[in-house]
Amino acid sequence: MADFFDNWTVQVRKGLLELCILNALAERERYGYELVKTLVAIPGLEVTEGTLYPLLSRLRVQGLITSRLEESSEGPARKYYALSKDGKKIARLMNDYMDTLNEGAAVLRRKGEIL
Amino acid sequence: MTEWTTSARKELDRYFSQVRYELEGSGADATEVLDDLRRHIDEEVAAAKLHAVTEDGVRRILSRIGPVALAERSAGTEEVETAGNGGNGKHGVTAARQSTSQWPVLARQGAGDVPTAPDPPDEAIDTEEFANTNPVRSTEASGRKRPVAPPGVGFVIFGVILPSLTIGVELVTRMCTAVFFDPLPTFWHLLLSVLVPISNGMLAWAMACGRRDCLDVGMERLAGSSWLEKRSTMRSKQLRMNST
Repeated sequence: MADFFDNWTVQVRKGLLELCILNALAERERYGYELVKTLVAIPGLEVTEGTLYPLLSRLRVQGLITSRLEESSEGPARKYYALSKDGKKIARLMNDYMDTLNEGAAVLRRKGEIL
Repeated sequence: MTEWTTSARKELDRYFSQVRYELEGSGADATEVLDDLRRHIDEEVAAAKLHAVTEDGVRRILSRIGPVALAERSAGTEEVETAGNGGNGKHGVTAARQSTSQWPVLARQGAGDVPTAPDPPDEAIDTEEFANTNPVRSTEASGRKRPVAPPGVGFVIFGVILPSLTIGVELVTRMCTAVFFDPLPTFWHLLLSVLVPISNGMLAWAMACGRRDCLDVGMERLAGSSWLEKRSTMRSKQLRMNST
């Protein structure tokens, strides 16, 4: 039973991770370290920095996010990430999709009176 | 100004080499990810206000960072056994690791009496374009690491047994030395020569056991040593021909 739940959460998290990145960037431009710390702090997402940077790179390669380097007075140069036009489109699609799924699941949950 | 010890730098370099390997075919730009990680580590060091970074310090930071590219590997390569049940809504999930790109499909496939997930709206991006731009789907196509195939009989015969026999026969009979030239003039030539069957034997063993890590770490060094031996033997042959 525990295995089943663990596997299920892994699946859910993987899909959500990309959406969380896009949503975090939809709010405003963020630099890598800040973005990573924001996502790492989300309870239940259980993501590490090591998985986020390759994902950010892939999203950039695929044109969903953009990046620019900026010198920082507080330490090393910062790499700022922002959503691209396509990224905004995809984020909207994904959020709509998630909303529809959640609504469907909520209807079933109410009908089944699980809780 | 933060100072890094030599061992700390070495530890970091080791980590980066491993990360570069992990990122092969992941769809991410390895150089970019390494730069990002380097920047992240610098930020961590600056945030911790460390004056000197030691090997242990690097290890601590790296353990927080965690394994790189783990997400796409488990997302793309682990199998999901879904009972094909014609839509009665039951999934026989044994290893329920599934790609993120597959969850809309899963929802439709296993729907049964459960409301199906909606398709993306037409006006935004068509399905094919969505699939092409989906980061994880593209990873699945390119990011899978090929399984290690077991060694063939030919590989074992010609790579391990035949070289061993050749070296053995030459050592016992000195046939080549008598007719042509001495291929094993010194102990070091012999040592380098036996690296050929040894490295091939280890390669065969690693392939048989599916040990990809062994294949990547040490084999190129052994292969390089074998190449040195060949070069050295050719040089001695050339010297011998010049002297005659």
